[in-house]
Amino acid sequence: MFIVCIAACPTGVAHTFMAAEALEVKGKALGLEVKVETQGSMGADNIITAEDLARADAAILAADVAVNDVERFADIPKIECSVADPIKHGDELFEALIKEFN
Amino acid sequence: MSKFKSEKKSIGIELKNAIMTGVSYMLPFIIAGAVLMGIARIGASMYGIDNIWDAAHGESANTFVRLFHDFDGFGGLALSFMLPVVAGYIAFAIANRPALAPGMIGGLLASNLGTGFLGALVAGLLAGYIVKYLAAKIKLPKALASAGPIFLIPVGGTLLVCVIMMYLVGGPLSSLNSGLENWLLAMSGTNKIVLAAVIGGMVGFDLGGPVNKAAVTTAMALLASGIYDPNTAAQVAIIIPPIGLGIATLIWKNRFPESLQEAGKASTLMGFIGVSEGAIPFAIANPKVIIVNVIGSATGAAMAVGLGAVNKAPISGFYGWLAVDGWFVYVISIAVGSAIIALGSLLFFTGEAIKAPEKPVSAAPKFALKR
Repeated sequence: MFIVCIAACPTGVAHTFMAAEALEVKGKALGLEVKVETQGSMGADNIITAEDLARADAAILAADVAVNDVERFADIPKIECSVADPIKHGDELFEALIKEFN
Repeated sequence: MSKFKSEKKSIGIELKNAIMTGVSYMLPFIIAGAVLMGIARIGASMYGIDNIWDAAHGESANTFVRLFHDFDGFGGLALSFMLPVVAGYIAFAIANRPALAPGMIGGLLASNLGTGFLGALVAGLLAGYIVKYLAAKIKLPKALASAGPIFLIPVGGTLLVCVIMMYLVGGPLSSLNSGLENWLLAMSGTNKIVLAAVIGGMVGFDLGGPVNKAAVTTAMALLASGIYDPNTAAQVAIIIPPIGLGIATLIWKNRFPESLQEAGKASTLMGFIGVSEGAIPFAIANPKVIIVNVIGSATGAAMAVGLGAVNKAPISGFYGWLAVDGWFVYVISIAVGSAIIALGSLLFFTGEAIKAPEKPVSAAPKFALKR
């Protein structure tokens, strides 16, 4: 399963990257392929492309601010949550996601 | 996959995210402006000048004084973008790109009308929802479709926002804003210190969580209206828990479990660069330490404000310390707050094995997949 994610926090230096790491680590542990685009204070990094979206199964938008180019995710099942959720409640987050696919 | 729910984002979260987006884009402007002005004022103080913004210094015979006068001007220029940018990006968060221009223009008008941050907030929200409404309602024949985003929305959205700001909400907001400003500025002595302690305690309570963000965002918002005490309190309080707890692990290493000794090094570093979250592992390992965090942050914040330190920038890391008016008492206040936390944490970290917390600090929210 391929999950595309966005991480974005108001300051864009700490939480964004902590959330990105949490998503990658948790996803990997569950045997999922995860790609996280970080929208930090230096702009977007590891950008999710149209090809990524075409083969993605679901998206996680972990953000406390508006996500740039959010229209990209209009046609894909997604979970929207706070940027802190993957860090604090990563297990529950992936559980909720996977449950829907089994 | 029949269980996919389609839940609408609650209006509360939408508003909160919009405001955070605006504040997020506004920060670099405040940081650039406040630090440039800080440099100008520290530099000028070496020449015994305490009003470097005065036009007379632009004609000074001393090259450095002229330079500092210009720096102060650059800083002021950066700060003048605060309200337009915050309003523009609040609108942007609600209705995306087409809302940016009406939002920024509304924000500039708010600035000119003297409505402060409150006005910019209203202008941004107005612009966002007006543009959202216009974009949904205006249906044009295909041949004319591009007239919407490039003509009707910018012109119509801007006009509506400006008319409402100018003739409806501008007056009341401006009196509300000046009332609030006067009230906060007139605060002195005990009240000021109590306010600082409350803000400090809130910031130290959940280390980057909702209570912390509420306090910090309010403090930054007031910054845009030229009220500095809440910001000073918040910036001091942000770094006290990670520094205090980090230093405790460095001095009394054996009191802490191995995992926290590692976390302590990171926490110290994160503290100095202004990231509260470094202290989170400690609060998770033993939530009782939150009490110590609140006391330490509140004391440090109250002390800094009470002794007259003024931080005009939304920067808590060490690289901002020298730009603070009264930086010496500011740094001492941080040291005192951190010492309280370092010593207080020993009450809860006694070197005995701590049992892992049975459940997370807060309950996980419900995560719903939607399409």
